[in-house]
Amino acid sequence: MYLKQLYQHNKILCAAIILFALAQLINNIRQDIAISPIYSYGMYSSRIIPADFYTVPEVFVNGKQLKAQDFSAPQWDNITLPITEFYTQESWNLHQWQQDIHRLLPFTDSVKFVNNISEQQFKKWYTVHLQTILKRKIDSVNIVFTNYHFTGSAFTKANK
Amino acid sequence: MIYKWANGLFLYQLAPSFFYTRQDLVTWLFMQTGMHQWLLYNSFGQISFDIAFYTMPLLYLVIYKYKPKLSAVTALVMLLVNFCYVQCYTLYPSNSIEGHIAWLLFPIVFIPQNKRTSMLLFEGLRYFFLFYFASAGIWKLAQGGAFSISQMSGVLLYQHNQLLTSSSGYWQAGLILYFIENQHLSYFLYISATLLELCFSIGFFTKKYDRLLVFAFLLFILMDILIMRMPYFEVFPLLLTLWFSKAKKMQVNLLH
Repeated sequence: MYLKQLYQHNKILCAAIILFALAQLINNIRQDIAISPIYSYGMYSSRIIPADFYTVPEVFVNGKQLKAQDFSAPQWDNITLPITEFYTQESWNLHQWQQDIHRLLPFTDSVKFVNNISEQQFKKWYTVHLQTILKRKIDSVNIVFTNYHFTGSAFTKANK
Repeated sequence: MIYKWANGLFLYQLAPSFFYTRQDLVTWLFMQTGMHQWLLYNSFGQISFDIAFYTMPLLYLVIYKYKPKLSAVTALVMLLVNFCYVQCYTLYPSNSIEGHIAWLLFPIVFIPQNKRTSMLLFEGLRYFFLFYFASAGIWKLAQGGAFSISQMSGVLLYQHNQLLTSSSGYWQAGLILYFIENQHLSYFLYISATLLELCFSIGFFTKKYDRLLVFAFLLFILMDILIMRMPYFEVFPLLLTLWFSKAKKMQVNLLH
């Protein structure tokens, strides 16, 4: 009914919308890389089995650990996402470049796809970032990745 | 907008120092502009982007009211601004681009000068919104998550290990841990969410239940905030397509 109305009103628009819908469907079926604004919405759809161990980033400001309960969900993401993404971005971005971008597109230079930031620069930026979120002066920031064991009912620090 | 500002989610508040290249062909082409790198450590650029992004809807409204002949061009500019902003914003440690889909698609409705065309595009967005949810349910069946009893416990552990380890005495941590420990109960939640998502496919055949789907969506969002700590507020504009799906006259008023 909708497509019929669309076709009668504007054939080009109708073709464009059918094309968009088909692209969306095919991309989902092929489980291919996204082509903005065509994405798949399958978050948490693949099997996720509870693990025995989890590596958790912890942030200590002036020697005191930040707690998720003291922040809204977006604020907490704003605190932890930069950490988790910084420590994986180098290998991830390079992988994207080598595995797909370089292969699918005629680009020869990776400079637009990888960062040029050292850990020291990141930590300097992160201290300022935290000061803005916490709205107070920070003397020291310590980022630790701690390995936790999930016992089935609680988390306990795993032996190194 | 106030919610985002209060939670430090404006671009100038994120003040990014690096980006994370996602798997997206259009994004890779966009990255050739170097815009995402120009914004790093660039307070002026970040604030300018925020101002452009958040004032465009208001600007469109003013232009439509006082200079309607320029409204199509303004809508086109809004689409371009939204595209550039969302592309850059989601390359930084912030949020997924999928959650920003309403920003990317909604301006298209305002581009045509012809009201009938706008209405048909608006209706097209309704079908997209139905697909958005129904496909999420289908994915859970196709990828097997819906057939694993321990799925939701695994999801909760993955999603909340920071909350559970840093704030074990907090009420929300207690609630989440309760669901993790009771796998059948948490699996029931996961299946309920899957069924709720699949219910959106009914909208492809009838508009009769659109208002019910609005409430289903609101329930989904509420549970997402409570159990997953994921506020999906960016998708809210798409709700309008369900709410006004049967009111042709209201659609016209809403769009023009």
